[in-house]
Amino acid sequence: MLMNKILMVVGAVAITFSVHAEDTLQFNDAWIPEAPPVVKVMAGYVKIKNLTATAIDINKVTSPDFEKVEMHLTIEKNGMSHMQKQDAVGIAANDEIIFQPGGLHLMLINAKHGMKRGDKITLNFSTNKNTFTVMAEIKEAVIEDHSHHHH
Amino acid sequence: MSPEPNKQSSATNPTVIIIAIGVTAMVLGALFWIYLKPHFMPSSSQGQAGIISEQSLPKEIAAVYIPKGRPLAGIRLTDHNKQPFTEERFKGKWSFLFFGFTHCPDVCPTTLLVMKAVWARLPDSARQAPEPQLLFVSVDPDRDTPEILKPYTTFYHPDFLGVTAEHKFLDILTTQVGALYGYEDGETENENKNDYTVNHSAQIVLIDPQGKFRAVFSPPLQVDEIVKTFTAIRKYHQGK
Repeated sequence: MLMNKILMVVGAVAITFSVHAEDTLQFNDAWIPEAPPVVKVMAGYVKIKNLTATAIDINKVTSPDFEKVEMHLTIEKNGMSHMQKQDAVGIAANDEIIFQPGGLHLMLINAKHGMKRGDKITLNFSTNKNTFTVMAEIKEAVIEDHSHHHH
Repeated sequence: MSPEPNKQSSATNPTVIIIAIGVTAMVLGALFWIYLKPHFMPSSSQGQAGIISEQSLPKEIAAVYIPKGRPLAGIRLTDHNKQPFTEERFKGKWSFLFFGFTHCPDVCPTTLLVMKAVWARLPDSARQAPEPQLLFVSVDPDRDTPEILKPYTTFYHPDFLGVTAEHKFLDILTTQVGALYGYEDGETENENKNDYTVNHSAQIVLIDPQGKFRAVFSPPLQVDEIVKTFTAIRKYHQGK
C-alpha cells in the first residue's frame, strides 16, 4: 500500500551474512524502525536474495533480543488493515523478497531489554538446511519527501 | 437484427429469449432500485455522503468529501492525559482521526509517520486557527491505557493526541464515522490473553471545526495529497 511511495531512511547498510554450502541467501539493508519505548512489538525489515537456482523457504526467525519473532504480511481488505501470520516465506530461484513497511514484515515481540536508536539486533533466519545470522540496526524512520519528484 | 416479435412463435427462438432476459433484468433492476434506494440514501438530517462536485472543490482532491457534513454526537472518549474528550473538543479545530492500536508494528507507525510528515509540510495558511489536531484513536482499550498511549502517540509528534474509550463509547464514534475494527486471536499455545491482533480501518477521517464528519482519506495515504486536499478543503470552508 503506502510503501510504493514511502521509503524509510536507510543510512549505512547493516548486514552480515553467513555463506553456507547449500542454501545461499544474501541479506541486505536489515533494519528496525525506532519505536516508542512502551511498545511490546516492533517491526523488522530486510531484503533477502536467493543466490541459488532453487527455491528456498524461510520457515523460522528468532532473535536473542526478543521473546518471539513472527513473519507477517499486512494486507488491506475492504478498507481494513489485517496482519496475516506467515508460517514460511518462500524465495524463488535467483529472486529477491523484500520485507518492507506496509507489506511483509517481521514482528518482533516482547523485547528482552531496552531498544534504542543505533542498537544492533541479532536476527536468525532459518531454512530447512541452514541458519543465517543477520544484524539489524535500529534506525529512525521517516517518510521520504518526494514532492519534488512528481506532479 | 431488427425486432420482429411474432415472426416465429417458438420459445426456443434465441431473439425471444434474449429479449425476455433483457426485459426481466430491467424489471428486476427497477424493482431493486425502487426497493433499495431509500436504504442507501442517508436521511437529510445526516447530510449527503458522496464525492465532491466539481464546482465546489478541485476534482483532483484525494478524499471523499461529505458536502453537508454529519454532526457527531455522544462522543465520550478519554485522552492520553486522562481528560474527557467529547465532541466539544472537535469545535474550533480540524481533527484528523486515525484508528489503530499500539501492538501494531507496521501499519500504525507508518501512518503516524505519514501524518508527522503531513504536519511538517502543512503551509502556514493551514496551521492557523482553526488549527489541525491529530487523534490516534486506539481501538484496543484493554491494552492501550493512557499510560501507554501518551508516550506512544507523542513519540511520533508532541502534538498528536491519543484517545480511547471502553467499547460501548468507542463504538459510538466508530459507527458515526464509518470506521471498523475487530479482533483476531493469535497463537493460543500459551493461552496468553494478550496475544491477539486487531484489524482496523485504514482510512483517516477528517472532522471539521463545527464537529461534523467531513471527509475520508483512504489508502494509499500520500503526504502530498493529504496536504493539498486538506488545504483545499480548508480554503473552501473559509470561502463559504
